[in-house]
Amino acid sequence: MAFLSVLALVCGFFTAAAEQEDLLPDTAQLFLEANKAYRGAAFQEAAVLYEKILAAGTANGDIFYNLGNAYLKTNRPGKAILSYLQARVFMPRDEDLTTNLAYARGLIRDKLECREFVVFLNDFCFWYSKLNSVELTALFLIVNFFLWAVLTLKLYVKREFLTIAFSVLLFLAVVSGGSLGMKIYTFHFQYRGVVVAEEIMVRSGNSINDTVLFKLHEGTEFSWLQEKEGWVKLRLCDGKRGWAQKGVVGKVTL
Amino acid sequence: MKGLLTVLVLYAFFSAQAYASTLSVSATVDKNEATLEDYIVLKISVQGTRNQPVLPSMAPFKVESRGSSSQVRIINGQMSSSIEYNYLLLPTKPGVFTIGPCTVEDKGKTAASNKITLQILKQQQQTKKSRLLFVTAEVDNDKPYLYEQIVYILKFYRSVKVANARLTKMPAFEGFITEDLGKEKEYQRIINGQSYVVTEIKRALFPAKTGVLEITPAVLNCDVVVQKRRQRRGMFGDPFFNDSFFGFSETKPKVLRTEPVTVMVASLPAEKKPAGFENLVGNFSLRTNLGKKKLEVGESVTLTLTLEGTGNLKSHQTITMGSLQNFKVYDDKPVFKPGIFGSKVGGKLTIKKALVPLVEGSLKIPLLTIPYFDPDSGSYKRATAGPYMLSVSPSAEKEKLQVVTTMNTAGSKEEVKIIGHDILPIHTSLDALSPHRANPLSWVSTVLFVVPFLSFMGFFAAKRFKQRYEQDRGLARAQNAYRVFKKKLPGIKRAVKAEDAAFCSTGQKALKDFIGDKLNVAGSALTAGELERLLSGTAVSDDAVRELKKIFEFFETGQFGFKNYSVSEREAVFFGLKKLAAQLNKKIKR
Repeated sequence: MAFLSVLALVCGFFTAAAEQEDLLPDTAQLFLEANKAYRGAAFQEAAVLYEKILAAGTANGDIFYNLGNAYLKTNRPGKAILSYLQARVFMPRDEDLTTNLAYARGLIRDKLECREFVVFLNDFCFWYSKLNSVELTALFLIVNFFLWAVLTLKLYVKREFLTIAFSVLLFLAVVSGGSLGMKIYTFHFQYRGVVVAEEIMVRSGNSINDTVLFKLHEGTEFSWLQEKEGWVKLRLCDGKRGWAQKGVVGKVTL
Repeated sequence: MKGLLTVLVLYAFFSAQAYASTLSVSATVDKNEATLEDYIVLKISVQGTRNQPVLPSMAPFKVESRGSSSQVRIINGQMSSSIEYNYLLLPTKPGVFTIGPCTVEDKGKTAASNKITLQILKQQQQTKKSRLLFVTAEVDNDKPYLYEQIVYILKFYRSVKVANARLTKMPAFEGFITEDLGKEKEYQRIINGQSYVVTEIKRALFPAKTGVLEITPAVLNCDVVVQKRRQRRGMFGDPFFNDSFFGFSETKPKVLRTEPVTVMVASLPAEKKPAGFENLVGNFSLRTNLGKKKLEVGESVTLTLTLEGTGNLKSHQTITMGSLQNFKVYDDKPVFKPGIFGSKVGGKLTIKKALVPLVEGSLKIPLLTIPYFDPDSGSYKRATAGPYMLSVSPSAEKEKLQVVTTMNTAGSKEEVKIIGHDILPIHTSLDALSPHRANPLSWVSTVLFVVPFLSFMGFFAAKRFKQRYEQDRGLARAQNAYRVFKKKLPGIKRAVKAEDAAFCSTGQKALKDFIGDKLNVAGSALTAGELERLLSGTAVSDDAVRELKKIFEFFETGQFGFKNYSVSEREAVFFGLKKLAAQLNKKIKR
């Protein structure tokens, strides 16, 4: 896993290096102040400071995680879950994050029984949920490299073990490539959302006059389907659909 | 037939003459003063062209086209022709407006019409008594509580015959949740001695926010049937013929608007607001039914809760029940059946819960309470049902379960008990300031993906080429033919200035070897005829073949002394041979 992280770092090096050079010198100061505020139980202030760091362009899983903690301490589980979900995009194997996210989810009022395909992916295809998108890309590139290397070797050397190695690598390439494709699709086309207000009305259409279909409470997660004139079309994991006003929900944006 | 032809020719002639007259445009209206209920007929007459006029911006009016008509006039031998375009202008707001000029263009010339000033009044200052048709909008309660149902009533009164009545704009009902309140009704009413036919439409409204809310006007369009003025009387004076079908009456379009309706929404009283109140406003009753009252531990019993009444029940399809100790509760999907009770909407909400007792004994299901606000009395009330007592006997399988439990617990380890809950601390390492990437698509990953594949393709192509080269000697000869020929060229060039025999033998041998290698045949025994035959089936042009044959014959005659050639002739042949060899190398591929 460490090797993967190194390769992922190499993949991301060319773009990340440029971003790091632009890092504002006072970002570190803000980070220290935010941590100090958090430790001094000034959670609201800490949340504001973490938001400032993120607004300055430092997108990092640890910052989102800390922000989630600050929101949870100020009794805002919706915003906390939103921040944790954003942190999970970058560091899906972080155990602290997994624990705190589970804790925050335990505080929400709505009980949903999910049947989504993503649940299957997370449980059965563990690499899908345990690797972030850059690590998954690195894995795929390694497999891809060895696959073609073995195939090239097979042009000149006829050995049984090369055929076995080729079959294994082909299987790994299909699995990792498929997972990566799914991840990229999710990244670009399937957004998640979280209710950030205490209670919201989900209506049959994008107007205040439309019938209220059901109510949702803070922290409930959903699929973000569409945005229209200040309203968001959402789908719960049990299949219920409806429209909610945009101001009362948060989007897992990257 | 001849007469008809003459008329057509004359018409065509006069039409052409008529439209050849001066370009002009004029605008007229049927009235300069109108109300918001009236239409104004605008006529634009265009002379000198068949082009359509361009209308100016007429923002305060809705414009509808009503077609065009042509007119030809002959006065004192002078003929003029015009096209009249008709429009209906529907005023949308009161005030004084100037419209125009309308313009028309033809062959680079532009003509503009006169301007017209129109005064639009709010509404005719008539009493209901004198008005033949009008619309009204009202609510049954203009000071409701938040979420209290009110009824919006739209009425269309008419004492004349109308056609094509249609609601072109319904109010927006912003700030309200709306529900249908049955179909429209039609009845007769007498106001101040005048009989009206009234069409009534109702909507149930639930204000969703407090403060002053305005219901915007509704707009109704219709055509009023009026009798044409006639001098003559007779059998057509009979009312039977007073119908537009017989052409003795005509319709006049009319637009009717309601006044906006203002509603003052009061917030629900904060005092004595009961715990568990979930903005349920109306009048409700709760009924419950318990499937059975005697059962065993682990057996289930169905508790049916039915909340019925008028109010905003449709928006609250849940019934919150306090936790039941000693029971496991399984909720069924709620069923809501909407209903209309008089002029109030409401319905019946049925929720079924399966209760499974976990312990034996006499178990109590406590009093069930649903708090709601009753707007009629202006106070909070509770719909209640129960309590119930259940007699739960031990389960037949209980003994067996106990035995198993005892065996397992002997010498077992104690589980870790959670005695507190909190989150894990923040991450304080400065590594948190290194930006992470989430998007895997970058040019680096694309290059790393493509390079191994391209490398493989390179190796594959090289291997295939080598294999083919090794297996095919003919290909090898063909591939090397031109290279070998070029190596011989300096020797031939040197022989240009030598004797004919030396030049011709060197040149002929090089040519024969080149052709032989290129076509994978024995080159040394080639004759001019064979050369022509072999090359005729290839992509080499006939001219080039002829040229090559000539050179071949030149070498033949020069080599055996049949003919003597000058140095310049030999030079020309050398360059011709060089050029043709290059051409052959390109044309003959393997």
